[in-house]
Amino acid sequence: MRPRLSNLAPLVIPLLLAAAYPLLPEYPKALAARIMTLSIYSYGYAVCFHMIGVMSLGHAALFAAGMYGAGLYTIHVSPDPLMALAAGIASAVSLSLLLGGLAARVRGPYLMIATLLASQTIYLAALHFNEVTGGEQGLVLEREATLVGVFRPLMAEADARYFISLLTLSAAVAGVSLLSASRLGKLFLALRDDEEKLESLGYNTSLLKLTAFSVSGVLSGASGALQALLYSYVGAGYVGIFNSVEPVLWTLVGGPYVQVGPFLGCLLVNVLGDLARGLPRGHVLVVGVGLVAFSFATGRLGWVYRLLGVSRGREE
Amino acid sequence: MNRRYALSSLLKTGIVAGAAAGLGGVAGYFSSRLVAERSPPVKEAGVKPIRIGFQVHRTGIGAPYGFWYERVANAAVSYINRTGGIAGRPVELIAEDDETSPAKGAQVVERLVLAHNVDFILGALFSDVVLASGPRAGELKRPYFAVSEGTHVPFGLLNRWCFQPGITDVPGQVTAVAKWIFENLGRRVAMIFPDYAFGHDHRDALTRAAERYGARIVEKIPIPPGETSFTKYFTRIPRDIDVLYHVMVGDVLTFVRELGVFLGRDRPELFGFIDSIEAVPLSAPGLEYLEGTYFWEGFPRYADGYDTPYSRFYRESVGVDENGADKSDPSRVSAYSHMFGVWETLFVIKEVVEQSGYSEPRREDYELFVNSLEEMDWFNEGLWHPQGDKLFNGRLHQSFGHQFISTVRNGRLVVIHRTKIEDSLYEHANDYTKQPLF
Repeated sequence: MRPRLSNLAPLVIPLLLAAAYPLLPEYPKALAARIMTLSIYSYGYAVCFHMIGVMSLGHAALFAAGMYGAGLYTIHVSPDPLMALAAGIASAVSLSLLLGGLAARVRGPYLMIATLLASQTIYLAALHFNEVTGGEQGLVLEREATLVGVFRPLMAEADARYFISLLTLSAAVAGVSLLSASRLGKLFLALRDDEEKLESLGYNTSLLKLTAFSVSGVLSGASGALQALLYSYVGAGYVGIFNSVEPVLWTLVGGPYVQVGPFLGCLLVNVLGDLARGLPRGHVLVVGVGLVAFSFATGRLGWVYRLLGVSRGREE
Repeated sequence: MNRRYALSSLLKTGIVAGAAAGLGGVAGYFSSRLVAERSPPVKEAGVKPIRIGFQVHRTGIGAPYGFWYERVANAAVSYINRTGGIAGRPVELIAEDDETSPAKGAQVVERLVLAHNVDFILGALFSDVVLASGPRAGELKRPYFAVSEGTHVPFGLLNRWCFQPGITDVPGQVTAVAKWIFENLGRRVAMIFPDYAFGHDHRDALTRAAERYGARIVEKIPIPPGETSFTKYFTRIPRDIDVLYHVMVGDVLTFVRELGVFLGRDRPELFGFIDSIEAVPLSAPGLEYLEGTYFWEGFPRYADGYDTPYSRFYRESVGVDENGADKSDPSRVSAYSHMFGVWETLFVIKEVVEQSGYSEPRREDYELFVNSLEEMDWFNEGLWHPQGDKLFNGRLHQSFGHQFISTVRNGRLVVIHRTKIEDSLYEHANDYTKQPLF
């Protein structure tokens, strides 16, 4: 049960991304950096979705808490980006405790609606307090106060952006992989599979849910904070309902394998969307049909994943 | 844990990751193929085209505007190419959908610069997209031309690489029409505005103008975004005002109907911004109440509103009829007060490229281009600037121009006044020329 080195095998993904860096042309490089930042959010979502089996429709609130936390800290407190990152993560975690508290009380479809309402509340608050948040229009951060701004004397901004995203993604992948192999990870899976049984064995399931949500909050918040600190913009455009649904799509497309799925799903959806960007109208339909076909395929292709030995956490 | 599984998990995960990388590679390959295939061949052998990237709201909330922006951009580029291109080079327009989303907008800027290596970017209308895109354009060192009316360019929220020469901004528009309102409709004003940046720009500009001209804003009524019913806010409208000033607050049909029911026939003068009824036919049910009220127009929707050879040529080129609707579909009303900005911006690019000797995307050429543009101070009225001449402020990167005031008569807009450029000027401390370019 003790985590082993082999649990860190999914780190192959960031390693490949690091190796690919010199080979990638400029635009795919920029796109990869964007996708890496977003896929941290995808991992955050998967912690709730795959590990404890809670489907939330409110994760955009956590992403937003990270984004606004970091952005507003930069603007109002100090332009130190590392502290801003910490502030973003801290605000996301505190919000995630609230969502976790909801999860401890209601279940299933009720929870979906409750989380949806919670994130809509954040969205409306962002619009309502627009003197502070910039509302729909948003706020631009000083370039010098952003993470890439700090690295500017050392390397080009594009490189800084790529490696900062890569570094954070590696930490997220390692964290999630170790977590899923740990005792706590097994407890999460048990919670997903049979909550009553686990409760009757004397485990505090509410506490477990709170823990899972706060892990999810760290990841989602880090992704949101990076969004602000790497791309120097915060705005309500990132908080809408669509931003809560996106990670559901990523994790579904990526398949039920929490170590690699969130990244693969996020990669695939975003690359497909990007491919379709220059196409004329109707591309949304093309992408949609492609994704639906693909999610059917991942369901059917479960045996391929099993053959490849990616753990779904049930093989014990 | 099963021993075999433990031993091979590293290898197996590696295979999955490898497969994923392979998949990404294949996708990337097709992506570049797609990009390569879409670029039309160079029109004249040996002459490299000027590539202008176009971030367009094809889908999302801005789509009704995006449709017209794209139509105008294509018309202008086709005219430019028919008449010798820019500095003798053909223009190639590379349009990509930003879904009217700030996240996607910033991504489109990256695509246009890094994948297509465009010379210039013709930017968006919606403020959030412009605000998210500006910093990216500044970092990638590519001139970004907003056609947005927002204050983000003139008030210094963006950077040295962002310009707005083709359309006037909200404070300029409000400053100009406020003088006319106070002189002709009355000096006690209440205003209804949407409670976000666009509305705040109106509120602040009108408040400043009122101070300047000795008028009084007796009540400011913000409407939260997303509001669907307005009557509860109307109760705050004071009885003894001369003018009710209103800006886009949501669904205009509901707004006007409820306003009609609430105020009835004994109403103050109404002055609105065309933005609320842009791309909406005045014959829409419920808009009868607007009869006899006043509107700001950027460029008159009806052809007789500003009938010059230039405006006629422009109207013909973009395929809009006498009533401001699509020639091929009279029920599709154009975004006439905004879309001319796309036309004029493209000609500003043409003019500055030709004057500065810009030739390709590199540091020396952009230094020439940006410095020349910042030294511009005037654009003459003509085929290139059919809406009228414009004063350009190189420190603010913003144009100032004429505004139109129209009244609704027999269900159509009739222009009754055209403001002077001097009326729209205001002071601002912003100075982009002080920022380093590289």
